[in-house]
Amino acid sequence: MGRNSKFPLSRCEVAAAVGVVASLGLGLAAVYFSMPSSDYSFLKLPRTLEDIQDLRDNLESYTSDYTIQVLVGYCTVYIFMQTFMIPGTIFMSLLAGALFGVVRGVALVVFAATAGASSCYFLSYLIGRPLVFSLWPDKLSFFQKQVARRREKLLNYMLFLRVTPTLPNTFINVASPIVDVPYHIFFLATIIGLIPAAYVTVRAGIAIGELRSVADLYDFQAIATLFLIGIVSVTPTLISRRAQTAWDMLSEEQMQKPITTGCEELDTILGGGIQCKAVTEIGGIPGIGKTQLGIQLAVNVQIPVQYGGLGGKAVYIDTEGSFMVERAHQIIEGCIADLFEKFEHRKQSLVCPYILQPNSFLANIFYFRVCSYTEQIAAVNYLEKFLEEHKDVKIIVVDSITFHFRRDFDDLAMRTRVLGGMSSKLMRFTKKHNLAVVLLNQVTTKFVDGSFQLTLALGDSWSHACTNRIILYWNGNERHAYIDKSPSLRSASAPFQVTSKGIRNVTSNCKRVRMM
Amino acid sequence: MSNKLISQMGLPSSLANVFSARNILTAKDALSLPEFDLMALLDVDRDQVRTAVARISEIACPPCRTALSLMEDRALTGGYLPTRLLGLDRALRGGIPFGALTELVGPSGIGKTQFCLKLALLAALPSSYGGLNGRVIYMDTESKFHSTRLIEIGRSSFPHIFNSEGMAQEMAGRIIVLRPASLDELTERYVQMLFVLLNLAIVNFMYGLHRENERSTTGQKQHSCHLPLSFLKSLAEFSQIPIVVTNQVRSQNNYEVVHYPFQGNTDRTSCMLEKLESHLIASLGIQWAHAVTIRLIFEAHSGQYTPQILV
Repeated sequence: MGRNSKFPLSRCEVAAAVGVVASLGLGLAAVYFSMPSSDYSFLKLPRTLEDIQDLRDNLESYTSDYTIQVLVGYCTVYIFMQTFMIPGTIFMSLLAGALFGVVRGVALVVFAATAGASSCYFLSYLIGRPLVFSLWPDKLSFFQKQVARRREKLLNYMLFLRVTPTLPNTFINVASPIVDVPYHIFFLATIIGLIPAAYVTVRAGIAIGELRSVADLYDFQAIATLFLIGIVSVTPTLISRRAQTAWDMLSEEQMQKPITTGCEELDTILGGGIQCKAVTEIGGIPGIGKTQLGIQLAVNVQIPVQYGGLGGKAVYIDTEGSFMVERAHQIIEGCIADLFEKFEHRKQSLVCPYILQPNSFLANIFYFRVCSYTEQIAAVNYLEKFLEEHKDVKIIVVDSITFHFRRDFDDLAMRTRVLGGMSSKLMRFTKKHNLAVVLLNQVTTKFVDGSFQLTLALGDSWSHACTNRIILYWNGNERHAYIDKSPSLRSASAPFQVTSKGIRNVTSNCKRVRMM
Repeated sequence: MSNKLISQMGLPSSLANVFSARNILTAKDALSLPEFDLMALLDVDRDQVRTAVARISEIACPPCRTALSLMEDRALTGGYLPTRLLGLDRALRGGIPFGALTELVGPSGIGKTQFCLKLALLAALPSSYGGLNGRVIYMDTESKFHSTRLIEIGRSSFPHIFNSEGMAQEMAGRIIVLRPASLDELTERYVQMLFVLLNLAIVNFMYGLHRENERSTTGQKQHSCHLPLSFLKSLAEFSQIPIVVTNQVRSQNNYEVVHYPFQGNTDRTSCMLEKLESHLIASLGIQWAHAVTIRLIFEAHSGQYTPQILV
């Protein structure tokens, strides 16, 4: 059947599906059994215009006597047809117009259509994925792309789709749950969006005697009116996409989850963790823990959403060969152990157990081993294509950005330009794909104010390239992190510890003799 | 990777011709130039340059692997050389890792050379005794290698092997000792190492050679350090063997740079008191230190020569 793990079947959903089908069947049966005996040869699903005219003539008298039965029968049939995508609902709309007049006809059609669309939505939610993929692959990918682009103004877009004939209504019903359109938006869009079309059809139904063919129904004026309504509903979306106000950005920023570093004090001074949509540079002397922090971040980005993380993947560009896969395994085990400990009060596990295995975490770290600066530039360029294919990458760690540029470049001006190009590319990735970039840097000495001081490598022009800058240093016997430069965070310092589980809070005195 | 020819990359022929006409033959040449420079040099518009650079980058980029595949490879090749010191092996998660540069640092007389001799023996041992059953190159720049001491270590640690006939000769025969006298000879030797099927390389201290060149300008000194450094690293990774390097310590003078600007000057005096305790720092500076993967620091505590290993 191909059930997608994204929609885990739960018992109530199966029960709901069965319930829908059962109630439809019941309704039909009830109508059938309560109908007075008479000649019902004309009662068949209307397929052509003549059928409708026939049906109308016969039913008109019947309706005034047995209104309830007719209503229930009509709704049941309509919902049945919509749920199982049987074509011909337009004829049912015409019939409603013929039988009940404008106002009641529109109300009836909208109610029945919405109910039918909803039941189709739920059915597709459960079992529709493989079916839709095989029937309409192109339309589905188009729809998916459009929906992904318009997450914020989804209601407008759905209204537009309903009102205009861009996508057929049956397709919208079936595909919406698959592209993650939430039900309340779907419901609102359907109920409001079907009113114009229902109105046109019902009006035509009244004049059904004069109609010669269905083509008369959709004359140019009606279509033009429908499109006008559609354009009006979608215009706000088009306008607001050009520029973003600070207010919109505020809501976006507040929704953005940062990547935790594993050490709570460090997270606090960072405002929750490493921010997405920013380039963070982390530097320090050898042995302070830069690679450890890099690996820890590549692991922490994968913490599932249900446990408060981002559930993303990581790209690790290794220029020095310092990525030790056994250490990564150790850190992953420590992370998983801490997650279980933190959430042990929950009775059942929040995610499938196969996700919280070290091997699946390891499989989500994409590793590039870069051996020269050419390869480093090539890797950053190639990332553009790579990120299009892997949309769930949420962090890029470059360890370290300095190594090859310090030794092979003789022309320093050229080096600055090349580095500038690389940093602007990385900055673009953060904005476009909404991820975090972490660059690990080495230290060098600089002559400032009459004495030599330690500073991060690659020069002054490079220091403008990153958004945030963190320096790791030894303070006595403890490792500290200091926010050296940030547009939004205060300069502050926090201690952290490198343990066998990774980066953690400082708990006790960690023994260490300081050696450069 | 960076020396791949552009002509073989499958660019449209007109573009490939333009590249070669301007003498941009390898990926390295093309990617070293910023985009605008390329546009000006080749006289083509931005979109063409962009697609060409994207294509070149895709081919020059190293292949993407997942960490899981790295782990599986590691499991296949073994991955480390056990040192037989239980605490050390536990801290290192198995032993001296393959494919990485391990540095031994410590003051003189603490036992670095002895440790190196032991490691050389361990690598030469047959696999049934936990060794690598392979050949070792011992690059001895300070004439500290004494084969009598080596045999003595072997006899006391593995008596059953070394007392059997001919085994001592075979074990010792697997260890190749090189004694380069100058920096040039050292680099020559490194290149020769490529042609030997190795399982372990031990470089017993390079600083002596570099001290000769100390009077040269600092820029040159850095570069002369870098060639052997990068060579060792690539050799380690390429052949997936462990490479162990030893380093000396020198005393720290007061002009040593230890502080970041934000740490301020107020701590100077208190820092100096602290420094007296641990005034020894590893030689060869920060750049070298950034290049090694694991650093084992040997220290003496309370008069006993117990190596305390900091990783």
